[in-house]
Amino acid sequence: MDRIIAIAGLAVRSAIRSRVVAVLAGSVLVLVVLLPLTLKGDGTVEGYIHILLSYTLGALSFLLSLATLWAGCAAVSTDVRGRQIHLIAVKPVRPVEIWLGKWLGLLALNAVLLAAAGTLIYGMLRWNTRPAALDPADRATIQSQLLTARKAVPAITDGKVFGITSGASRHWKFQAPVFQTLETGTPLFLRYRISATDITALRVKGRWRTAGFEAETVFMPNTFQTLELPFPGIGKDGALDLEFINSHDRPLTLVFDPQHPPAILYRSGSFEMNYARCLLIIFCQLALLAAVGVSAGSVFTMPVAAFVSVWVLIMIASSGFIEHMTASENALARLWFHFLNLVLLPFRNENPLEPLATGRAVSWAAVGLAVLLKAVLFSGLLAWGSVALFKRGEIAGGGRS
Amino acid sequence: MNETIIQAEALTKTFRDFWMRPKITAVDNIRFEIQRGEIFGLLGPNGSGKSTTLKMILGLLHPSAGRITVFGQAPQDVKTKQRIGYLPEESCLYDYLTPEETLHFYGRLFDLDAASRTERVDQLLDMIGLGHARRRPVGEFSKGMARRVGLAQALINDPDLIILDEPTAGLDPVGCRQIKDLILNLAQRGKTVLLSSHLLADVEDVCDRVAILYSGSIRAMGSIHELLEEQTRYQFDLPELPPERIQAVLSSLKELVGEDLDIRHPRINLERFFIRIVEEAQQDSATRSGAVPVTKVADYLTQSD
Repeated sequence: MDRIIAIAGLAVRSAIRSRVVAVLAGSVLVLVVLLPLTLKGDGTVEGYIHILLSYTLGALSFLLSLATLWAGCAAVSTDVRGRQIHLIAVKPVRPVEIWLGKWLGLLALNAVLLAAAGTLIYGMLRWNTRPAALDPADRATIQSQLLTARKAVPAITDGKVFGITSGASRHWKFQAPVFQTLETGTPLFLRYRISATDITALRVKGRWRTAGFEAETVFMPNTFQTLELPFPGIGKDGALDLEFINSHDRPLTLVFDPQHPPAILYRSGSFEMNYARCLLIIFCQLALLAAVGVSAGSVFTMPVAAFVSVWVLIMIASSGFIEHMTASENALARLWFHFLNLVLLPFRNENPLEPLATGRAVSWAAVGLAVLLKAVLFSGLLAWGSVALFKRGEIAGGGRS
Repeated sequence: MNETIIQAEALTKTFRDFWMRPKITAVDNIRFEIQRGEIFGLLGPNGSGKSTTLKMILGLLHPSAGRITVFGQAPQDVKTKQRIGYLPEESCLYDYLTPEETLHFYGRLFDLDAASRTERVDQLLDMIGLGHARRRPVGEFSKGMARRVGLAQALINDPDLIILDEPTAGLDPVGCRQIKDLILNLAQRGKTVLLSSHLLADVEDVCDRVAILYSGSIRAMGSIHELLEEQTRYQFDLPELPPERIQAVLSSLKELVGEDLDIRHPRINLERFFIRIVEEAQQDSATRSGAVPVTKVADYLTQSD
């Protein structure tokens, strides 16, 4: 273990002394401070919070991803080019220990930078939502809807798309044992997305009703909406019944997509823990990218490794398109996109920034899955493959591409 | 009792191009054995296969054919590597580390505990004359100073087998002499030294046996004594005598041999002369930025096993 720590320490020292860390820290600082000032939101505090949590954290994640890939590629390949690897390889060090040392060094750097930037963003968030900066009602809304962690209980559906014609209604049932344990007065929120058959309709009307509560809503079709429900009556079986009535002024059918059924949101934890879980998932993604970089640098020269890594980044960015293309009519194209989809499987994940920025809980299960799949399983597979190739090749040979 | 430390049998290395076609045979069917306590020299011009042979012994290259064992094991074996110290032809150090950090780093790769590592690092820095520059980055060093750090890292684990590729390259004559003395000292302690060099005088000074490589093949191998001794000629060493006594000895010998004889004063070699001058000059040395010539060998390297 001491050998791995020694190599990790060397990787950290190399990054610090070559001023990579200083430049990266400067870039992170500029990004975190300047981006919220330059991006124009809708002028509301909610908009500012969204920019800070979604765009700034997203841009930070992208910047660290790029830096991690680049540093990962350089970690072993520059040692091979400068022949420093000769002096390490003749010591009682296994190739997997070299790989792990370089990887852990990058993870340590990422952990420090992510924690520092995350703390800065959190500080800016708290400063801009401090009592003196907002009126109490706005602040209460933000605290209950954005700076919180809410879990979702989706409506029970049959998985089919259905439409509600003008004047017609539909009942939804939400059932979860947790409803019975909630304290009276705990606010619940309804989150829904409804499409309209008339795509020119920019605003549509609908009415939500439950025991002791009724609300007329006007909303933009095909976007997520949130409606606060004063603590509604929960049945003895822990079920909540909700009725939706199409109350639009003119004939129009409203369509519910079974992929995005209405859901009841309830507070399940603090924003701080949610924020920490989100950062942990980003960290796991960086761990996987570090593994890609170190593996590419162990097998290829720096330019080839960098090219491979950029290709991986582009593929990750195009993963939505690739998934869409798996339904292509051309059999050959379908096969090819299925293959790409499979290759990108380790990188696919639910974006944790979107729920964070809308006050929804990022679960510990999601964190555990990210740790298990990205930081352990897929990184481990990359380590195993690249170490096997590294051992097969000759360290002092000139055969690396 | 003889113990074979390195054994090469029909060792061959052929480098191939991208399409796996043979490009060049750097080492061609060589065989040799090196015993414990020997100082063995690989001699040869540039491109003769010396470094390729060393890299196969170290596991940095795989033989194309034949077999090589070190301490009876494959060179890649981790336990084997625990007993080897290696100084490459180019020092290959991390520019941004100081000598102290460099030695601590390599010491940790041998799992040395912090206390013994610190002790060894201090002794080695004193031995290579860089104690005063222990906190300067290696990147700022001259080639000779970096070479000394490279040598120190090769000795951090008190190895049983020391492999030195062109150990005196880039060193001044004093540094060369120190390295040669160190090699002799290590061999006296039962350490095995394998060195490659094209500087014949260095090899002649320290090696017990040599192999001369040319185009990847061993052209001659044996002890220095066997290879260099001219069995048909003789040399007398006489004490200081008056000229008339010398003339008398010469006349008697001429009478016995029956042909003209050559007589001259013995000479010390240039290296010894240079070192004497430098030692005298050291008396008035002030502050130095380079390596300080020392004669001390690290204590742990002089203790018997």
